[in-house]
Amino acid sequence: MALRFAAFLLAVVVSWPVPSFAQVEVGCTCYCGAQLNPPCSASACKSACGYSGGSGGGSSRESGGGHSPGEGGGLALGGVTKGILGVAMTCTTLLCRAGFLAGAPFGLMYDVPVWLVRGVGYGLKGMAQGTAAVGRGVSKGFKNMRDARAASSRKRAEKLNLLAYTPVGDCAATRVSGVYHAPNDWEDCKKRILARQKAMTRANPFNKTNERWCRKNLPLTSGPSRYQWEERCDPGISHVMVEPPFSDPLGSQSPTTKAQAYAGNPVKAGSRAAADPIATATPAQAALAAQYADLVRSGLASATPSQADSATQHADLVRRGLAPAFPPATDPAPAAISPGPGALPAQAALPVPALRDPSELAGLGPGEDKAAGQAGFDTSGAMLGKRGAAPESPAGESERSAPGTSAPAEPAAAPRTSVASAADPLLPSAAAPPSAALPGPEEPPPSAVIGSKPQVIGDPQRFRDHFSKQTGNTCALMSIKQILGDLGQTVGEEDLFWDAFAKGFIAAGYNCDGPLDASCRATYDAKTGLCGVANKDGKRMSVDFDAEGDDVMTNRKICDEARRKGGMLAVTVGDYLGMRTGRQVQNTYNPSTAELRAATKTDDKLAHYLYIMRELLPKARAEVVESLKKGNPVIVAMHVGSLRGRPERRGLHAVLVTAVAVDDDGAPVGYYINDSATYEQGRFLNKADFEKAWLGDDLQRVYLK
Amino acid sequence: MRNLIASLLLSAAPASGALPSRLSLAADSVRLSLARECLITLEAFQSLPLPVRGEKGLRYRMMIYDAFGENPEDHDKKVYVPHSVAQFDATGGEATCKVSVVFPKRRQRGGVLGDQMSPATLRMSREAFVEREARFYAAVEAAAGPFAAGKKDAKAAAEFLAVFKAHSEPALAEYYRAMAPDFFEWLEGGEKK
Repeated sequence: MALRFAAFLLAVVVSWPVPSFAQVEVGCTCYCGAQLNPPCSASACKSACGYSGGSGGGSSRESGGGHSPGEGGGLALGGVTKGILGVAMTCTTLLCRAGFLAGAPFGLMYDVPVWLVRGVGYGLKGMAQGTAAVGRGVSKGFKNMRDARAASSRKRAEKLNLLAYTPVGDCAATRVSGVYHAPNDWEDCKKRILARQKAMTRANPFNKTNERWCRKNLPLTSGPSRYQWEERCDPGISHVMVEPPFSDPLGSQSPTTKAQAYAGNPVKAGSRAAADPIATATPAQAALAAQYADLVRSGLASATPSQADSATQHADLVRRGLAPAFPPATDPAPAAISPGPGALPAQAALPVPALRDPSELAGLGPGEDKAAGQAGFDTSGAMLGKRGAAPESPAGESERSAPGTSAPAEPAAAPRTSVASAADPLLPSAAAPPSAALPGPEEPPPSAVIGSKPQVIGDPQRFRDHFSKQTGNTCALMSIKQILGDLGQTVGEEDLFWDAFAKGFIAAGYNCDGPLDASCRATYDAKTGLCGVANKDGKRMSVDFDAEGDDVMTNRKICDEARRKGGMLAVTVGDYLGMRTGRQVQNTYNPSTAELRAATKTDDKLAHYLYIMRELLPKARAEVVESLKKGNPVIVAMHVGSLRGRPERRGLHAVLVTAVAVDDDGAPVGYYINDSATYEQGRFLNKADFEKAWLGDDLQRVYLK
Repeated sequence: MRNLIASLLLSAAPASGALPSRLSLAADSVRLSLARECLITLEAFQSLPLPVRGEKGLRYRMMIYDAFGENPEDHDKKVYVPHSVAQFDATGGEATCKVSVVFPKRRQRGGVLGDQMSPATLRMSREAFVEREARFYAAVEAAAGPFAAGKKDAKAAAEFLAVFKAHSEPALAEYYRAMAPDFFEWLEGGEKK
């Protein structure tokens, strides 16, 4: 038996393919040119050629083969058994081969733990890869979900902004034809305006008070207060198609007549009353209107001063016969019309019920009366004041300055300061440090130097159809808007702002949080409707995210902020006006400090100031008069505190000078301005007040040549 | 020329009137000259100027910021984060916007800081406000000299602080400190001769 087994083993070993001697001697050449001793396996070639086979770093030769795990090359990688078998196969003697084969179980003992560890490792790796894949999938799902929410949020925001920035429309437009809205129209209009107010509050929290005011002061279906309410609660509508408010000092020749027509006698389209409100007036009212019309024809028509000081000035001028007289718009009480040369005769001073006169309520049902009162308006729709802020309208302003109105009106936030005085109008009225106070001659009040007959150059009413209240830092744009409108380019405030912004005429400074990022600014792309932030070199800043994770560059937050903050630089006012009109524009302001230094040969700012006052102001004044003579209004920038006569920080405000009152010598005695911030059209400013506020800026004046 | 200036001054100033301070004129002229560089729009506001020690001597700094009310004509405005700081000398020269000031960090870049004017200021008349502004400019010019020289002047510092607290924008208190830290250190007596 043993012999048989030995014979069998011998036969197997002998029959095993053993390489011939010649093969060993010749060897083989690998693909890389390396010469190998037999056996010439592919793995040996790879090993000799340095092919690592992705099994890890290091030279395959140095690692003893660098085989892939399946090939079982390295001893350290669980290849002991295979190595033993490989060596056994290279044995040329039977004894050698048998010896190595007998060692194979020992190799297995060494390799099995390695294989186990490796198996577990690969298992873990696979599991990790699977987990990662699942994680990626979940993450992608979340991202998609977030994108969807962001898109939805963006859409909502865009819708909201669209709502906030798009006026509901002119609900009162049909007043032009004398047709009044049906109540259901008004209800719908009201709802849309209130929805817009809500959107505006979401876009700008400061609007909350205004929204509350709009909700609390809902006007009646018809009445002049609707205009005022819409003016405040639906800003940005074009007033081209809207009749002026009945309490507008310049818009109505016989306000009460219209108010009566509104309150009790709705007229139909095409009727004579609709076309000519004077036709429905009482004889006294008609006389008043006729007198006023005469004044208009004689070139004396102008605006009612809305400030107490200017009113006093104006009344003084009227008494002296040096200024045109106007019937006060909202309270044409006889006392307010001063007799004088060229002024209204005595019969013109007949008592005419004011819009808020309680007599207007006579004859009405108690319920209607009460309802109107509770809403803050009388039955004619005139505002009774004092519920929330005063209406921002000419009526409100006039009411503030007109005595004797039936309802107490809100006074201005701070008392108006100056009337024309003996003090130099160009100098601050308040005391300065003692060191700066200098004695000097007193300048007579402007009225003392006025000639006997005033003359108004320009027309305070000319731009009324294109005049509206601004809703941001758009004072200069609103002045431009009036000029454009007069030239036939009717355009709204919003369109004008975004057009100017897209073309680089609007500066909106932006804080980039860096110490030297002072020049960051918002930019606007009209094609996409999106805003961004650019640094001083015009390079778009990196994308930022808001608290909700939205890219601030892709929502309208920057646009919203730019709309609130953006305004024009002094230099761009003229540039934009020139671009829009295609005409040559004169935009002049005081010279720079260096030029002033050269002119005065001193660094003393006080000397510069006096030089401006004495040398440059008269020239600027003459330019304004000259431009108005040519029929061109003038945009001027003024110190806002001096203009408003109340505590204000140092900021500027552009208004449109539409006319100037001059004396016999042609010297200005007062100016008529349209102030879009306070919605004062044809506000009369005496020379002193005007020039003090103008000097607070750098005497900037912009006009078409 | 001196005679010309003197004659101009004499002819311009009324007996009871006053001339504006040189520093306020300088600040106004800087606002206008830097309008393009600092993006100072017509409606932008400028803060009160405070002295700092520059490489070339005494300089003044003021912030440029926007403020808004519910309506354009509103009195009680809210202040936005200043977007520029202008620096200039006492004559309005050497004006620049390239000033390194690290403002307090905020969670959001934009946003409202607070009230532009205190309730007490809002109740003031224009005359009283202008008078207090004149006192501020007098106080800051009086304090700037000792500050620049590194000398302590408790009286000037106290006078300045009193009028500054009343007249400055409440919302910008931290920003004023960031704009002129050395000056506040001097004001609070942290700097000895």
